[in-house]
Amino acid sequence: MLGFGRSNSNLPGHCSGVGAPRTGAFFAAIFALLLWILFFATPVAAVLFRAGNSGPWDPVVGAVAWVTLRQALLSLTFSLALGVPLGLAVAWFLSRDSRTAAWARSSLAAPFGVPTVVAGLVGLQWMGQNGWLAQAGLPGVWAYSLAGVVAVHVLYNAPWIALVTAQGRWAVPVRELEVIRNIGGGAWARFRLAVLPRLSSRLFATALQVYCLCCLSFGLVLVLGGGPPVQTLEVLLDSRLRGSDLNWGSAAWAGTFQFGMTALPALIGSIWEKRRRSATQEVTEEGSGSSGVGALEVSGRRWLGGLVLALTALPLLPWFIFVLGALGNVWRDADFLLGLARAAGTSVTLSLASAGLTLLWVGLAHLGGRSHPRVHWILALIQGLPAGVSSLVLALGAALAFGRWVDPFEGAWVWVVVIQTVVALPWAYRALGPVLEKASLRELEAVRSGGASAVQAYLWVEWPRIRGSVRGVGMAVAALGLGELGAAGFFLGEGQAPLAVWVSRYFSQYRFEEAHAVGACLTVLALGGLLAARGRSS
Amino acid sequence: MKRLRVRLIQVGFALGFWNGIFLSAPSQAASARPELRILTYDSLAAPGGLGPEVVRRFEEKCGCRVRLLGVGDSGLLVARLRMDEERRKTSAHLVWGVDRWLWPKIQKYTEPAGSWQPERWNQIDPDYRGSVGFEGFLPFDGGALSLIIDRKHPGSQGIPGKISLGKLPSEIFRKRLILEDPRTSGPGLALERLSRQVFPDSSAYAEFWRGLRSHWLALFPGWSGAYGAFLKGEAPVVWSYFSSLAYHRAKAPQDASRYEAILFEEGQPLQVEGAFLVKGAFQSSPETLELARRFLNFLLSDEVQKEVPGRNWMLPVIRGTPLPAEFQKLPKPVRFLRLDGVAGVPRGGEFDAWLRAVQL
Repeated sequence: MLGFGRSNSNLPGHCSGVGAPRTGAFFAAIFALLLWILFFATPVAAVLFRAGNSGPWDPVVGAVAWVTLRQALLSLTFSLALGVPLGLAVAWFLSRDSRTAAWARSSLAAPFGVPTVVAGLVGLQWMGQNGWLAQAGLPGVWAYSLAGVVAVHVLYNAPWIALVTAQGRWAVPVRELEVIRNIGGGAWARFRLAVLPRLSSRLFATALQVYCLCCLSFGLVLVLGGGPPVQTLEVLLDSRLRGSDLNWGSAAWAGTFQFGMTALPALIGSIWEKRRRSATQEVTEEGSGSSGVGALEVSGRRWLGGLVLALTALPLLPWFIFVLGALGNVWRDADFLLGLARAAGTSVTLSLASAGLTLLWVGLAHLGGRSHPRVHWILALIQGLPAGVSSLVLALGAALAFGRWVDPFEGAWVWVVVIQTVVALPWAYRALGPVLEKASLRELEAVRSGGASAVQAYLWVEWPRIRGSVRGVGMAVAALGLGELGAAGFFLGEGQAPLAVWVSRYFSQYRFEEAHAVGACLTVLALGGLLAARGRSS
Repeated sequence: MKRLRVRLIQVGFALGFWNGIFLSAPSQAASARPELRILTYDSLAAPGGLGPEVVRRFEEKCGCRVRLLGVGDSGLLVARLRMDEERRKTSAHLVWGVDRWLWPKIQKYTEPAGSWQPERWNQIDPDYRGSVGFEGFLPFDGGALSLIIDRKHPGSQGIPGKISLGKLPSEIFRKRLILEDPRTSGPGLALERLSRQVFPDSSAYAEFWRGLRSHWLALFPGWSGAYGAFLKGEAPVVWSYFSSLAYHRAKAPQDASRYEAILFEEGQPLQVEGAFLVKGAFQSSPETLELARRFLNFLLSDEVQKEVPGRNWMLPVIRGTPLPAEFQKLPKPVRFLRLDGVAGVPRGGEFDAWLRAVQL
């Protein structure tokens, strides 16, 4: 997604069948499978089972599913329309290994870390009836409509698509372009024959992921959709669960529709991405000139490069202004600061715990995959499935399946950690996969033959190689978990509210300045964590 | 730089563990005292709100420990009870802050009152108490709801001070209204109940909401978001409490005429928040039942009732409770619409008819 671990894709010695004792790998596989069954399959099965037992679905669920699909496809289309040209421009004008390209990559990756609860507030700040666009004479009716939801989704996803596009363009070997040029091919031929195949391959998987994310978007639609008829399945599910009209059957149907709409695309995207990476690796290993990969020369067009760099930073502007706007007197209030520290502590603890559990789970799955190629294939396939399920569906499933033992709403923080972990798992598994699968076998064997234990050999040889990526992915998972609202809002009760929940609590007390300040704090933590993660992984 | 990062991570852990261990877990001394667990909505339980103040004062009197379990919006209180029913476990002794409009739904979760009656039951204003005796639901605070208009908003021109509910879906209100979702919000529920009473015929009811859906600017899930958007100038009119006017008068007395109520010719719905004991929560501890009843009595005491306007921006239910100046000049509705006059809850999902009207 954000390119973590890709820098290590050229390491030699890829072999997935050696490096761990078979028994240990076997038990790791069993453990990873049990985690998946307990924390993903059981809750999802509980939702499907309840839906199946609650009679035919309400026509409203079908109508809301149609709105969800339309919204997701519109968001995807506009994100591609803006992101692809921007990404091509970035790759065209900025040299891949330059410092400006690194800045551009960070700028394009950062918006993805902004919590949706903040995105809703920022959306109103800009697109509301009284927002800045309206004050500048532009129509401000975008908020509270499908257009508003789509606009903020584009602000979120277009930079990511631009990043993937730029990386795809940078990955085209210069030698290939030169060959086409030498045989008389023009710019269009170079694009069609060398660039497009690589771009389309990358963009297909990314587009499926963007589609899923837009289907799963919840907090943003809640604020910017303006209520029915602009409501998605997530919002319907939430109102069925959290409203006075608690309706398990209808909620389960909404969850089932949502799972149906997103699980298959997520799975296809996951398989596609894995195959693409394998294919890319083969090409790279053939020595087709990856060392020469880079953008075209930029000399003489520096001002254009600067302009493109500014364009990549543009999506960060709304968040930056939002944070600056929170610098008020509230920061001098000791009670507020104490409350903020508690909420920040809860948020940081939860997100770090989910990051730790995610890394452990990914590690077990990869270790388990070394026991047998077929086990590797099965584990890789099932770890991709949760990409199509929302935290709300998992929360509903957990409450249905484990309600006798778990008290939803009060102190079930373990479940918040588990759900954030399951949601982050597919991405973390894909991001760390290429790094973990490339064990430095010769060095490992050399150290082992020198008398070192398996653990010592791992710590001396493997850990220094992978720790940057592991920490980077861990920090990214933690940063993305900071703004999670679905599971946190569902399970956490007294005294355990994280920052995202506090934003809405302060609103409910007419304390708008405090709500803005907490939102800004959340944004800084999430963006800071994400940017630090990029620094780690690179 | 590396040391700084390590330090930051350490601080994060310290904050989290401090929060998780020392703030959430009861102390040894506290766990020895009898405990009363109260389910309530977030803003009532939040620091600075009415809840913590009432709990502090009650704990001083009872020598017990009271835990407020904040569970989000008030609508979620019923969801929580249903979830407990599904789990076959009760997690609280008492629910505080539930809307009286939900009485038909919550009745089955209420501990039968028997012959017990709160000490000041007869001093409760009949508008809040209703015409029947104590059935288990104890009114605690209340207030009428109405459309509130910001007369300084450019879009407020031409909007009259009194209308019929049926005129709400008209051109003058197009995209100038902020409402709340009845599925998740107490005020939103009151408007939906009002429409049910004014349009008892199901086709007229559906027609009203179908017309209204293209006229509201936004239908927020909760009152807080709706009122926040109103204060930010998103629209000139919002569905809120009469007491919102008192809030503005208290905060900016020099600008008292800026906000006004738009009254309905049919009358205003009255929201009554109350408390009740949870059925099945006292089977193993009759002494806790006594404690819970003391708490209900405490809610009606002068000590608590006089704090209601200033801390919860609602009206006290005990007649003759002194009111702050900003509450004394609130407008008088044509009449209050109470639960007694509401049409029966339809079969199936409670909001199915509403949802079909606004979604399909």
